[in-house]
Amino acid sequence: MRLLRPFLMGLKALFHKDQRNLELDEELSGFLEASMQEKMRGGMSHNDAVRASRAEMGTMETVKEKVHSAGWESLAESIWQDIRYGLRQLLRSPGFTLTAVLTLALGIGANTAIFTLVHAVMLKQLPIANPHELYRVGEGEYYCCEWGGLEDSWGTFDYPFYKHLRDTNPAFAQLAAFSGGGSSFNVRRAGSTGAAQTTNGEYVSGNYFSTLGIQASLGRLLNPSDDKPESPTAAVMGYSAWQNHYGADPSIVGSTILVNGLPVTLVGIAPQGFFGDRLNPNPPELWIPLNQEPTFEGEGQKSILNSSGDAWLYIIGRLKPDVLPTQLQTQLSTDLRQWLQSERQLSKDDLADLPKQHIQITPGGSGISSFRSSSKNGLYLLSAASVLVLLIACANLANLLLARSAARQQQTALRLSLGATRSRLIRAVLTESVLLSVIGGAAGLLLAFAGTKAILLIVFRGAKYIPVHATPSLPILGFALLVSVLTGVIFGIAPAWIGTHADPQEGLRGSSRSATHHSSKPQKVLVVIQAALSIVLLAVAGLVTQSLRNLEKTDFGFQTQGRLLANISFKAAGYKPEQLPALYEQLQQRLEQVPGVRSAGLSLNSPQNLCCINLNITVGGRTDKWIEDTNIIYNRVSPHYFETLGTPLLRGREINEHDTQGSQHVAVVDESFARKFFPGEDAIGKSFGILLPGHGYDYQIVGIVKDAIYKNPSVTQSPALFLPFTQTTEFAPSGYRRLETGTLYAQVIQLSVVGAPEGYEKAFLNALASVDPNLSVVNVKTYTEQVAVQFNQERLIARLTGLFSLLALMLASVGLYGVTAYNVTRRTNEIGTRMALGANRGDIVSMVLRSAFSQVAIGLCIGLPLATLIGRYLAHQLYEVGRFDPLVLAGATIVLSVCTLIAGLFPARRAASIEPMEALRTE
Amino acid sequence: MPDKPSDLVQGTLEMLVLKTLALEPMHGFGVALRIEQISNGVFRVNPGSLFPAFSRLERAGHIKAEWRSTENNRRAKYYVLTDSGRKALKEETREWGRQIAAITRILEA
Repeated sequence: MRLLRPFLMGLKALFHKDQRNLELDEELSGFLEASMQEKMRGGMSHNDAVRASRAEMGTMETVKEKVHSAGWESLAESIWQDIRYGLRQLLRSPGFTLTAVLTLALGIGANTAIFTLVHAVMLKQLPIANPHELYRVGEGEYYCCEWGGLEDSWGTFDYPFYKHLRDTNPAFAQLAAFSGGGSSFNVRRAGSTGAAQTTNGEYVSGNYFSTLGIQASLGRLLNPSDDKPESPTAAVMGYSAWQNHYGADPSIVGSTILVNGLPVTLVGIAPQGFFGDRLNPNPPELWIPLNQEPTFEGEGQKSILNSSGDAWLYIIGRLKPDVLPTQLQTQLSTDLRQWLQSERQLSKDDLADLPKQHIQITPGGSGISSFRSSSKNGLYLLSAASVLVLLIACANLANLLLARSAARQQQTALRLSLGATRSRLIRAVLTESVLLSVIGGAAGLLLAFAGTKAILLIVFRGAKYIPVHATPSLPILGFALLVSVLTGVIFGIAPAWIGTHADPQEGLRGSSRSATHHSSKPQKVLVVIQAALSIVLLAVAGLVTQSLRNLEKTDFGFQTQGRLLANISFKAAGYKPEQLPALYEQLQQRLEQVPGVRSAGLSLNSPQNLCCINLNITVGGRTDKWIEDTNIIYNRVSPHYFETLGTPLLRGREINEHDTQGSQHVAVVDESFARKFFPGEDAIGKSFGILLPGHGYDYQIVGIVKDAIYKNPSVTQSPALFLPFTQTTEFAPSGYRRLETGTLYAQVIQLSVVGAPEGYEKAFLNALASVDPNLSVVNVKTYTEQVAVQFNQERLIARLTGLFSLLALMLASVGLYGVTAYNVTRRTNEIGTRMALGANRGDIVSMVLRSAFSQVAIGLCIGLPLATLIGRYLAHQLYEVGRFDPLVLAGATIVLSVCTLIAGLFPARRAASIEPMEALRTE
Repeated sequence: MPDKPSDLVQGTLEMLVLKTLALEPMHGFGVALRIEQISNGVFRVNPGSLFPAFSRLERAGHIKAEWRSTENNRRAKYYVLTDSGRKALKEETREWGRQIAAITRILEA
């Protein structure tokens, strides 16, 4: 109420301005009249009284002005005046406005596009209720230790520990668990004849959805009563799968679907926009209760559900309001150590490591995302680059405005002498620049929308589903507005300050030359800054591009040309492990009969595609601790695998058809495996095994292949071993027994073909269908494409920093051109005089160029050390790029110099074409 | 003989206007005249400060304005004290008293 009344009265005053004015006039003249009469009553003559009253009052207009400015509306009114004035000014010089708006649109657009990514990937919470209340038990990604073992800082847990926590820990209002690795399922409607859909699925606890706090868009979601061994099998489907595969048919809810051939009741559809518990290009589209895991994965030892030590679950929960995460952390860690001691048979080494075991509580509201942590640094780099571009754009605009304010010096001087306050003039200039930047920001939003779409296509190349949208949301709009206003203030403040610093007398004297003298220094400083910033950006772009080129030129140890690959799930097609060897042989033969196919191979994992199972080995007869600690990549491959992939066999032989369960169990290893464990000797014929007591002689090495790069080339590659699908080892009940049967299912098929691999997709699918129509493959791709996809992020960063540095270079060149041209105009007289005194045109050209180059040279002196520093900082994120790359720096310097030459040459030629007589005449 | 005119203490004009209007509704000149007379000519209120003060008080809801006719039958804007204005006057008078007492104590110490 206290604020409302002045506001309403202000509004009234604004709208009834004329009436108010009249009333005030009447009131004031009444005052004057009364005052006069009072004075006459005191004995003054009429004339004296009139004069005295007028003198007391001052001018009526001044009083009125004072009354007006007592309310807030006068400020609003004058701002509105400024805005209209600013708009008129902008319309009057369309060339300037267009340049400025374009520059701003580029700068703000770049920042908004990058912010859209940062927001979606780093800041955005999952589309769930009160995401900030969610906490994750543990940290880190799903990489360790499905086959048992201590994790030190724990991130995944076994089911018994989850149950223990859920039932005994009072700190959580709700605690849910879900599987860390995805499984793929074959889904089809019962009774339908259509092809089965291969769908990513996730096992979740019954309270998963209620913990996340989301509602079904149709039917119901899972609840704890579904998550019991004896409950009928129920599942929830994702919204986009329901739309894409089942035409959003509501009748599917409550009906039976076949998942891997087993009947399951589809109880509901997840809400639209729910993409699971993490940002993932291939999100789960089917949620199945944890306790149904044995139904799909097989009872007894094959199931992971009730086994102790298999850390396969993420745990996420809602804390009770009064619980402090730090306290809980200590308590959970103690609980974990006690649990490990009582529930697991720990080895001596494990016991020594026990005090190290701990659990961190991390915010869970934004989900668990390997995508996030892997793209964090790249996004920071891009944000920094886009901010630099904006700064350079700001410098350009500041330059333009400075030149303009110099031209308006006389006008400013006149206004000052008429009584305008300096703060009012500064406000007017700032209003104009903010106006410009807001218009530029609006244009930038459009640009950002298109840009983000293009960026997403690069980042999520080959993805099924893009979990990030380019459409600007409220936070994005807010960000763009904020950046626009800030930009306007930043580039406007210096010109406003300097431009209104006019001495009225000097301005009015009409000698525009003396007034413009001051403002060429700040302009030069701005050009220096631009040059410095552009050299930094150029150098960074050079380094990042170099890194991408190194990545792409890496020798992967296999051939990507003429190769086709596809992921496949034999388990989802319903095969039992004992059926597999015959099926593989049949499949391979069938595929190799396809005309043009040189060879076909099956494998558990394949390089740059599905990777990797890591484990430890023991070498027969040796007890060195370092052997046990070495990480090994474990793989199973079919005959012809290495031939198909084009990985050269260095010694010995490949896995072949004669390796059967009954024959000697063999392994092929890669070069680094042989070198590491058998340095200086021949590894062929040596034996090793999985790290379990009594298994040191399980496999005999029969072949050595060249190292192939399975993981991302920028991380250290581990030595690799390859086993045949046809030989299995009996292990005591443990994770290794499940590993042994689980890995019998090949997940990848590769083909080596004659000619373009794209043309074989159809023949490939037909061949598969002729063996078994239930076999469905996902992601049929050429290997070239598959490898390219691995560098999506690096490519995006390289392209964008390249683009940004070009933008920066362009803006800086335009800025330099502007300042040089401006100075040439300003110095027309001087140049004319010089020429009249005998300077030739060459002297003039070199004089102008010298001034341009001197600014850039200072910029280089600042920018090069800065670029070197940043290069050192970036080096560890880049691939095979040195901490100091003189070539990149030299390249950047040359590019900048060429641009300087071009930007300086035009004004220089104009200066040289000045006719001395004419120049002197303009005085 | 009136005393020499002097400047008003900062921020006191509004209080004086309220006090003056507490006696009866008045027009602008009436207020100015009354303040001058009662202060024995020490305070002379300039229209340039008086009218903005009216405007502020009106905004704050302490006074309201109505057009009435004067004793010599001319239309004039009369200002009337409102309830909230009365409250504000009481509040400000108390505050002023406190300040004066404090200043006096300091000066006499």
